[in-house]
Amino acid sequence: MEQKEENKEIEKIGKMEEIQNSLKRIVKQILLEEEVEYVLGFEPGPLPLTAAPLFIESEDDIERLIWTDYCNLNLVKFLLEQPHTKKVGIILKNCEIHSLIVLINEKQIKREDVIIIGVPCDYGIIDLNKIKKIIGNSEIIKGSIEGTKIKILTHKEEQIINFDKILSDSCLFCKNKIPDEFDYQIEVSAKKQTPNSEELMKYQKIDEYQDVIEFEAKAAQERWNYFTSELEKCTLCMACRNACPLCYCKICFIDQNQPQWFDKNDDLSEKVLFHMTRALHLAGRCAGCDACSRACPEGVDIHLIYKKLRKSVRDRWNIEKVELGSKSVLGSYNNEDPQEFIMSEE
Amino acid sequence: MEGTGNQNQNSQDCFKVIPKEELKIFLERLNKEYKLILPTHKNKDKSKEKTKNNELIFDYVDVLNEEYEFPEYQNIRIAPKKFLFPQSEVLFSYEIEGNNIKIAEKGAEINNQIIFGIRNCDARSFKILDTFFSSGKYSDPYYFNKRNHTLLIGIACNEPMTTCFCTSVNGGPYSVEGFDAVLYELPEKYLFQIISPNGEKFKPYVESYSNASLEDLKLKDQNASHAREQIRVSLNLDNIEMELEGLYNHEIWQKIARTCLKCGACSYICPTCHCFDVQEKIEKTDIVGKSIGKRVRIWDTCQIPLFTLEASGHNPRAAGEKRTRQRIYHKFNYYLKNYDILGCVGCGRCIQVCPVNQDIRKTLVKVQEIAKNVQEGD
Amino acid sequence: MFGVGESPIGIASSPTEEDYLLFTVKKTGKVTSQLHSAKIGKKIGIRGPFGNGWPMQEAEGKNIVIIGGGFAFTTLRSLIVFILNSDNRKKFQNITIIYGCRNPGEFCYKSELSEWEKMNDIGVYLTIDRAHPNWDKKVGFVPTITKEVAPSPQNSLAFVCGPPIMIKYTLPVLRELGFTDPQIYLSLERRMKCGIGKCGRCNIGNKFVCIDGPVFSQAELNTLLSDE
Repeated sequence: MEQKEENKEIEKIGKMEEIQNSLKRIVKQILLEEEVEYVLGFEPGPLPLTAAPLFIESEDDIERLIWTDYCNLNLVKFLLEQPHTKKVGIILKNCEIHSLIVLINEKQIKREDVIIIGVPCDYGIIDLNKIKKIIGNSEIIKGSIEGTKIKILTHKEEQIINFDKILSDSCLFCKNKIPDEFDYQIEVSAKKQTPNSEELMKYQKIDEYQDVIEFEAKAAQERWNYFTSELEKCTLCMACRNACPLCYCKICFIDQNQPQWFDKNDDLSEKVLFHMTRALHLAGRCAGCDACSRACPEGVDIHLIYKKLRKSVRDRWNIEKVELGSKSVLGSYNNEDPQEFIMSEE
Repeated sequence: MEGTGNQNQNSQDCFKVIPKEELKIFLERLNKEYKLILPTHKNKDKSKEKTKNNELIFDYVDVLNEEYEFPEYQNIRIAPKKFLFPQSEVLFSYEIEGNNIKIAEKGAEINNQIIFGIRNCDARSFKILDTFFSSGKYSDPYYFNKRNHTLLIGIACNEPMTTCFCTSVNGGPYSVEGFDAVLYELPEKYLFQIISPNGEKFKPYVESYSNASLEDLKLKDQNASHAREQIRVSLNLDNIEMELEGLYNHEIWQKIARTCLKCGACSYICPTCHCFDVQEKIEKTDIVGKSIGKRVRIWDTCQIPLFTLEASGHNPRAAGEKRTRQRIYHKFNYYLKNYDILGCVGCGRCIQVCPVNQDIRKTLVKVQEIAKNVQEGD
Repeated sequence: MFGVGESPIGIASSPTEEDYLLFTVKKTGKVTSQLHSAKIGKKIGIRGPFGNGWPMQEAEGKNIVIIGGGFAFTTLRSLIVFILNSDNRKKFQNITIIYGCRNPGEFCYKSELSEWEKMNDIGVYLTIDRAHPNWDKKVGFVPTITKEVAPSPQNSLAFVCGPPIMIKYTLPVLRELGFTDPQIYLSLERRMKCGIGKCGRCNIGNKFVCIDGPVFSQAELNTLLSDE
């Protein structure tokens, strides 16, 4: 990135760099002291405001490690793909830690096999898809973060966009930004207060599910129109599924062909079938990291589907997030479980 | 070669001047004879303010009856491949009643059409698809049914994107390969040039326009060199086939594959990827036992394990690195072996869409580095 | 199968059996399962034939070693019936057949096999993976039995068709016996959708199994970028 320009920046950059430096120290310590195969982090991506997964295997790799507001993937996904012979270190944010907790609870990963380096978020992760929607058909030639704004240079003009327009949907409302479970944690000094942003503070004061509540209030037809207009853009490339650490079935129902559930046509009914079925498979499990939305090459807004599921879990079972060692919400029975879905007054 | 064509091709009367304000009229005249596929805003009911973030796509536009303004763009995000090779395409349909099967071949009448405003990368992608779909014993009738009725009018690329690397794969922003005719954009006007024998069909449409001035041609050449300078990444892929030959079992594929999600984003956005699946769809079954079905081909991707999974359970490309490798080898080795062309046009779309931000240019650089080391090590 | 899909199936009858086409189909996937539950008289569609066959001209005047495993024996049956046809038999020298299955019940063409076993001019070696009470023939995996039978590589060609694992372990045995790679022909299997080299999934290196194969000489496979 453009170091010189960014040095002018105030607290925000300083803080990110501080985090990045302490991460480098911690990773080095882990590589030296613990028997790890690698530590998972991010390196700069090929385009402005992009980051790519990095497998840090040796001290030489540490230099490439970055920590930014656009480390957009949930690295937990990459824990599942590889057979591990040793422990693995991983740098995670709180929502991602909760997705790892789900995997640990579901016995896909052993807690003792993972060294979690927890990083607190201040605002959250930038959703490049949102930026692309704002700047339309031009490409981002340069991008830099200035406090709670982002400066984008396109081929035609320079634009400054407020964070509230481009933060990932979950991040905007999120109130659990400090890691709940970790082996190493980055602590951010209280002195480095981030600049106030009224737009962002507004979201901190309202219900986490305000957007879902507003959407629920809409007429059925309006809701349906929204989903269909969004899902029509889907090309069934499976980037959302493949970016999700909780989608780990050896054979996904969509790929299953004996029997075949899904005829692969790119028509709306198939797209709705795919997204709704996937959503149901994530009910009570989704940790709300939004990696799926950010992975979508078409910028399909699917976050509301998953957020609605999380809201249902909160409303029915009073569960905000999955805790380590807890039983799965839908996989366990409790006498107090609400039953109205079996027999409804409506 | 660009800009070094013989006198004949570069003489002033080969370039007709279409003033920008007359482009619409030019399109209307074409539209009387041809269906037009044009860059247009996705959201049709657009207000002026909204057009900025209203995505541009290629679509059929009836300029005779619709409000249309030719937009500005670097390139269109989704390639026009889908007009000749749609994501799903009915091969034939059938009616089954008891043991009677009536097959209806899809014999839809194809209108002559023009894809207008494409860049050189996409024109060259059609050349690649033409080569592939006509190769071997069996030519693909579904593709050529449409292709044979399609003409390509391109616009030379004045502002390539940061992800473009066409000059590394035998293309260029001002290359005219693959076009039937091409426009060069100057401040107030376009210069129109016929490129292919098929493009001669456009002669009557441009005859009334004046010839380009020497000044115009100079400006065009300046734009060409400016455009080429915009492309910062330059790879020398002259030996890529041989370089890949020795790396088939190299650990590089495992290294690249481990950060890849194995989704189909890159294949589906790629203007040259052409692999497909064939599926059967029973549409309607009525009570009497009559059913109507169709056989459909649908884009597929070599990145998913199901692509090669056999019914027995055996999968020759079960491991992720074999799938990552397949994509690179198909484009940069097998294509050269089979057809003596590269299977990539350097449009950079895969770099733009990759959810994990992989860069095919970096992969190729890495391949070349390793190949060099392997060679020197020997 | 209309409404179900297509499946690539090798022809089990020989060109000498002019009146009909024989397909031997194992119930494995979606299409083959439907085929198995179809009633006699059910109308199905056939496209083809696609791809190549065994190199019969090259085989003339030579000894032929036929090695097969499980249900992959179908095109080998076609080959054997063709060779044993009275017009053709004299064109070929010694015939050795090694055919292995998991258990006695899995063999295809049992009555033909026992006829062939009775013939003097061909060697038939049937084997199963593990000993079984109703089995008095050979026991052992195909590679082991191949080693035991030890067909001579002199003026011979080996035609091999079977599951990937069988092929993998039979190849070194043949090489050890002195077979050179141009003498070994394999019939390979891949998932296919079109059969005409367009759908892109059955490639081995730059070749398509559906049009360039399924039969490849090991010498040719060596020149391809493949894991085989």
